[in-house]
Amino acid sequence: MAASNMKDVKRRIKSVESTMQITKAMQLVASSKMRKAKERAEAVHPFFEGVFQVMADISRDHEFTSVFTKKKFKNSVLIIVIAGDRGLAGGFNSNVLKLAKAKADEIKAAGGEPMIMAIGKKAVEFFEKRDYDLIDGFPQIAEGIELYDTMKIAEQVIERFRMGDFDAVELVYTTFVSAMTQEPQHLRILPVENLEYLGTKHPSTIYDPSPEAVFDSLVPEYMCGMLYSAIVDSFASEQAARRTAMESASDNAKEMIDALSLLYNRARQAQITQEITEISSASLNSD
Amino acid sequence: MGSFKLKVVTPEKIFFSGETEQVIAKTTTGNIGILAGHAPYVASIVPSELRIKTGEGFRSAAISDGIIKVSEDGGVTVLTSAVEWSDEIDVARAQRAKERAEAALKADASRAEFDLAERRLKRAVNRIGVAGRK
Repeated sequence: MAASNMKDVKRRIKSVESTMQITKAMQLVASSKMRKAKERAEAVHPFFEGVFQVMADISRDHEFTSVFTKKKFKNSVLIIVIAGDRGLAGGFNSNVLKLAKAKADEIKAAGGEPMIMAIGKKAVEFFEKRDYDLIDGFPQIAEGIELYDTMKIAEQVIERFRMGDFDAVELVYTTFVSAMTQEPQHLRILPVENLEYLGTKHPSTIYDPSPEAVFDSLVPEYMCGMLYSAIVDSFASEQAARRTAMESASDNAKEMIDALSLLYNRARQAQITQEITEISSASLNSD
Repeated sequence: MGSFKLKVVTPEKIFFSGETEQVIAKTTTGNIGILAGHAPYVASIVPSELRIKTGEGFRSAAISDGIIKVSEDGGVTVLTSAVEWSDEIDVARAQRAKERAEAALKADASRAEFDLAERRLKRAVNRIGVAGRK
């Protein structure tokens, strides 16, 4: 192998090395962000359980009607889709967007009217390009999300649901199962389900002013908690997916560097052998 | 004075948890003060001042919409999407939120947007009002 070839190999090793530095750095950043996001996702549980408990208590003890529990004929459905703001996270964005698209198509096929609310830049871009009714988009809010942000979204959704803009609200996001697995999820949030009237009265509890009023005022909290937890959960999943993707990218880069180094060393040895042969044959000739 | 266990929970964290002598909140039907031994009770809280009395006296916080629940075991839980101690409120930020909400109210918006802006305004005004209170 000629010297110029060796130079090429050396240059390639250098470039793969610098790529590996980037993927390594991204992996580290993602894993620290993942840890923080996971803690935030877990911190939501006490709130959410509390809210759901009160809602379940009310519906268990009282027969009541609320716009938020009435099952209507599902004609128009709002799908809230949560994806990431950035790529390079393996199949994270495409998996959740595929599920959202499938759900929207299902509604279309059944003669309904799907509307999309997209959270995350990738989700906004995905549905802007396609023929769906994108009613609102919230790019770049997941990282460092604050409750006030989610409250605004939740209030908007509740208000429009109450006005009858849509008959049901569904949520598509990615849930964090473990650092290795993240699963796209589909949930119905409005009308509120899983509530049952069992007729077992707890007359001791006073609802002020009435069970219905308390229930209706709880729904925005429920919605806000649900959205917040989904966004944080999705963010943790995104970081986990990116960490895994970057880990395997770094591994691949390492493998490539190893193969290229072998190639380089072989070429170097061949060159040395050739030089020795040349020198020794030259000295033999001069004797 | 008897005490009871109070928990103030938001989606972000457990804001307060501990033995309390009294908690005062404003519900949709008016102010309510809860002491130890209260009957099981559930009510909605409107944006207002939440006052918590511990052994060291009252502490004040700005609370947005939420719910207060007295369980059968006498424990009290406040669930809310946002609550801040009065000495931790970012007044400048609340002021900005107030101005934005006022601008939105003046704009000729739909009924839904009007309602939202009104609620935002209430929360911002409440935060500004409670800020610095003891």
